[in-house]
Amino acid sequence: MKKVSDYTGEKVIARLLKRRWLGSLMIGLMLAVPDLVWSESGAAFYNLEAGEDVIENVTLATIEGGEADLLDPEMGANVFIFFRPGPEPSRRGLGNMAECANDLAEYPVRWVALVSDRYPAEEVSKVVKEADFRGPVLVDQGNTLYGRFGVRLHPVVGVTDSEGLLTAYQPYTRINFCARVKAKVLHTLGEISAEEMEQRLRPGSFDPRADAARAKRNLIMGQRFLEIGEYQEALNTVRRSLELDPDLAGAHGLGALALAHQGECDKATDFIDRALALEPGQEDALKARELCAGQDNQ
Amino acid sequence: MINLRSFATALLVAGTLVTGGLVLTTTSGTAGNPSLAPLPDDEAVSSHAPYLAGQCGMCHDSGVPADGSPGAVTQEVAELCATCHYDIDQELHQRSVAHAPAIMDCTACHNPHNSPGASLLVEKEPKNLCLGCHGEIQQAIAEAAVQHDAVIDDAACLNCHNPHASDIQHLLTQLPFDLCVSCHSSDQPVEDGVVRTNFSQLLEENPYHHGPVEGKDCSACHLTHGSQHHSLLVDEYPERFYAPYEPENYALCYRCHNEENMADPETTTTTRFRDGSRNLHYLHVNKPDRGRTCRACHEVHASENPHQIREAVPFGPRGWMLPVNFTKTDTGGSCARTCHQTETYDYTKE
Repeated sequence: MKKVSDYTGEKVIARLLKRRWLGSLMIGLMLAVPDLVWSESGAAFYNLEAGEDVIENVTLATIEGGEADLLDPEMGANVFIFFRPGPEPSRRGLGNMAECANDLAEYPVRWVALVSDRYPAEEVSKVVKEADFRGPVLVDQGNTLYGRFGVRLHPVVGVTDSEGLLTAYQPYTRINFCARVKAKVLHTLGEISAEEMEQRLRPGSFDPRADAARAKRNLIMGQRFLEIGEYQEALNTVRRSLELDPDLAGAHGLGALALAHQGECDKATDFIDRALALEPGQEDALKARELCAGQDNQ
Repeated sequence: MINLRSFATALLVAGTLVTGGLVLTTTSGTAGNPSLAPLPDDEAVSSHAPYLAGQCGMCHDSGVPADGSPGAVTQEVAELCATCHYDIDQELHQRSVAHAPAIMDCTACHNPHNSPGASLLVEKEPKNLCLGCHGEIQQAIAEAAVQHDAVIDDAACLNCHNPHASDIQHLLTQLPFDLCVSCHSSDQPVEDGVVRTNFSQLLEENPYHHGPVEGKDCSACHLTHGSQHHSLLVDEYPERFYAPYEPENYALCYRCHNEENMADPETTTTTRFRDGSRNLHYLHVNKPDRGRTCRACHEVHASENPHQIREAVPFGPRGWMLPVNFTKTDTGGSCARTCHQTETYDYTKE
């Protein structure tokens, strides 16, 4: 690990050049597996690399006239956001961080904001108040940290661990900015695994119209029909379910049971066999078999 | 788990309903309580299976409606629906963003008997149902100088949003980029005969991507519901190659990029496109008549070159493409035999 204060642009470039083969490999992977296209490297800080660089703690003036440190070593994670008071993404991003801080209030996380000394303090204070951001707002005199970190855009968030190691950064995104930052903070704290963080960074959605979902829904309705003695309706529903998902063991089992209740054990046999092949021990299929065995004995 | 915002919205909706206001005032729409009475069969496009089977007792007190009324429903509506539609209920409670009406009352959008639209929706056109509450979106669509086909076609809102729940803000079904490329990745002409950019191909062929593209966040620059600017852009962005330097011309870029990159003739912090402290961004753009706009040198989505520098720029009345010949070096770069003779820069120079 190295301190960013020792850091020079030449070293960054040299390191990147040495890793060109790695970049080519990544691009190859990205082309082969589009889902892997999720690197946001280089989109945030020119001079910092997540997982490698340790940020030197500094004391800066605050917009309220006092002083505060950039990092708090007592905290499990430190989050800093560079913003500007004017543009909408910065204002929205700062508001997002205020929400994030609330959401993660029970965790040892410190949230600070950084703003250039070019902007009037009153303007900055107004924006901070509107965003309901409660952490210290540090004044970056002459854009010193901005230049040292190589900030590319506003707003941008950096996350460090308690020792100042930059664990992650997050350039602004209009969608799920807070969710992404939270995922990275929780991972820094060791609360979630890398795999869970990736899932949170690439969330999917549920499609209630998907065949599997509709098949299972029909199965449940069939079970309700069976409970109230509507065996034929239960069977009709099972058939709809199997059209959508022919391998749904529960539907085969329920079909068997509905037929058994109607005394049609010869037709139930196929359903029983299929249900047990798909799911050995399928409860409804076993019940149907038992019911049919009882009918045979009579 | 439902997040605080969804919960607060649900409370707001509940408060509005309880106080007799049947409109979701938070979004200034015009929706009222839909009638849940069954439609005549010939008007119904979709029917609920228990209703179709005459099984009123699945939901109502009375299995057989003797006096024309099937009686009260046996449970709270959301609970009752969840007995079969368990998956939707699960989603509503597990996803981080939930649609408030879906938590409150399924019948805000669905008729449990039958309906004139698909999926038992109380409106024939799903978008009318959405816009009935989301008045601000209706206004944005109506007032947009540039419209987005995805918003006004048949599926409309459902092209991008899940009306129940999602882990993505605004109930999006996928992250913006994934949604956008699901349509914008074709070489086929669309209805107006225009062949749109195939973004999958563009990004595959050009390894240097703009930050929002890497972040799968097209909405950082584009307004999906409609815009006053070309290409559905969020803010002003010059269509031309040359323009006098006016910060308003760069409003779109300055939303994220620092205007100080361009403003100071000398800097050692705000940009690395400098020779020593001589700010080369300032040099290029700050010309009263022929200032280069961002697009003169940078591709907006992706490029073959670092910093998304263009391969070539259009020159002369016939639009001859003049190569930029940009080469990145360890401490800067150079542009060779292009708009000017070969020029190099080194930001570490004292």
